[in-house]
Amino acid sequence: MPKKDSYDLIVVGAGPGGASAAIIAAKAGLDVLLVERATVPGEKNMSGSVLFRELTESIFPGFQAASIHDTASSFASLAIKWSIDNDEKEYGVHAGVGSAVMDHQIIVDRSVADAWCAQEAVNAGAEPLYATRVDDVIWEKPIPGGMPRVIGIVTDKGERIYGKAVADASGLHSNLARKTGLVRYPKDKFQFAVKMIFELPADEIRRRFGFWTGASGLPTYDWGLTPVYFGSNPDFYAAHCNAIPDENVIEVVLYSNLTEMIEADTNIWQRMQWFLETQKHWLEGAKPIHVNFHALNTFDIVGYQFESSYLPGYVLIGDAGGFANPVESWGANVAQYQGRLFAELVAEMKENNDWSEAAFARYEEGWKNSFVGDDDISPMCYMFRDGTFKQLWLSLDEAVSAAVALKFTNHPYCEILPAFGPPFAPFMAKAVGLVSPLAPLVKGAEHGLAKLKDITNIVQKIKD
Amino acid sequence: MGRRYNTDILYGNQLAGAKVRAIVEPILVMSETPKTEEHIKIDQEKCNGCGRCYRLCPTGSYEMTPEGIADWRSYGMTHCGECGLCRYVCPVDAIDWNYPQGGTGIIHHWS
Repeated sequence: MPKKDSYDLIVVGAGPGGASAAIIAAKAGLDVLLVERATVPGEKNMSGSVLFRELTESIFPGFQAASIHDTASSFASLAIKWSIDNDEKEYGVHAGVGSAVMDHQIIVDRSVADAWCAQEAVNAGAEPLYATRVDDVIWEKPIPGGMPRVIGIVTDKGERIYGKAVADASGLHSNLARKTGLVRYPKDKFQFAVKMIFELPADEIRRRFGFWTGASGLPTYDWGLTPVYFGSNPDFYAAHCNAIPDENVIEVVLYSNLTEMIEADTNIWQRMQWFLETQKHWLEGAKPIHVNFHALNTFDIVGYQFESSYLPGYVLIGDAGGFANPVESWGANVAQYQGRLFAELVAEMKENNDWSEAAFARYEEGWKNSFVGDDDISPMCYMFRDGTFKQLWLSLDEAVSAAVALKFTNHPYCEILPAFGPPFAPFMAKAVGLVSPLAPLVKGAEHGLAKLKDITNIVQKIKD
Repeated sequence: MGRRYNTDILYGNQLAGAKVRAIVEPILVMSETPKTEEHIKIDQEKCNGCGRCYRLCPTGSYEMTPEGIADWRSYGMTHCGECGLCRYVCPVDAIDWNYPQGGTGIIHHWS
């Protein structure tokens, strides 16, 4: 039971977006209710483990110093994308653009990180209401000519709770986004993802994935490579193997287009069995310890899937509004940004006692003018669309192959997948302008580099 | 309307239902707070018997009745992964999907 029947801000969902909204609003002195369907925040999380370092730390001071930091810092920071059915080798080898910001991104186990962040929000004064599903919104009595206004929520226990503002950060399949009608769910726009966690000793993971620590001139993270695979069309499938040695686990994720699965009459496990077969060299002897799966928006993310991101009294934050960017594995960071933005706006609304439609419209203005709405945020998406993506992959392919040929012909896995090996890490560091130990090797990749450098601008915008 | 029959013959060579469970169950170590309600409802009047939910559900929670209509297996939603797949594959919107009640259902925590 909530302690009051009315709040300044009701936050639905205690993930990255919700916890960010709650902590900022609570610190601004607002009455905040943080509603979460899990008993402990994070235990319903399916994916989305990439956070931006500076952004997270600015919202949750102490995040990096907390014990979850160890989990977060050490991760195979780089990815190579590789076409499995590469008869034509159409996509070749590719460096994940998300990886180019590895110094600015951290990987967390969300079941740990979400719980910590939500607790920080509660410590700051937000009132937790956990183990509670939100089923509906409360509408204001319609005013002729006015926009409909949301004035509260209805929980699965039938409680009616009122709020001057409702932040819907409830994630994919948001009940509220449906009830308010803001989000479209076209059935042919879904991916299906399955994630398996395999247990293997850290040393063995480091050996297999070519990790090494503290290369000269680089931050002292573990560096390694994680293979990322795309089918001949990313709408068909994409998959990756993430090594997380600090946790003694390898995460294997497979995405499939749902429409295509229906047409092929395929259960995801058929595809996963096949994929695991191709990954034997990474996974041999590893024990599967966990599995989860979910349906999510497709790669066709250009053009977010909502009509509007706000109504008077109500805004969409993060996945609830389809703000995930699966191409770059971004989403949680976008949600955090939007959560903070909205909380700051609500604090202003309260101060000015202005809860008008125009005041809520500033939320949409705000994120559209931020990195979230910036075209640059998604160079990969646009490259997918205009074909330059293919060029990028091919040019990087040249650079990587050269690096491998020079230095790593003796790497234990080179024979199987010749491009895997540590030299790629400095290459990517070069791409974001950090160091250039292998400068001669990147000559063939100017085009790709130009695109990747956009990332530094994005990071700068986030810092600002 | 266009219901199919004898699904085992139709889908016998497909990975579905019990076969899926045989794969998933050994690694389905997600802990769970027992669900307290039938959070996903099948409108069996609407169901056209296409069997997509049965074949695609990653936990093998669906079965087809002898009449060719989608139904929950005897173990019902015990291991439903709350993924939302069935809602999107149903061509006739016969599946009324929701998350389970707050505080119930699967718990993902592996580290």
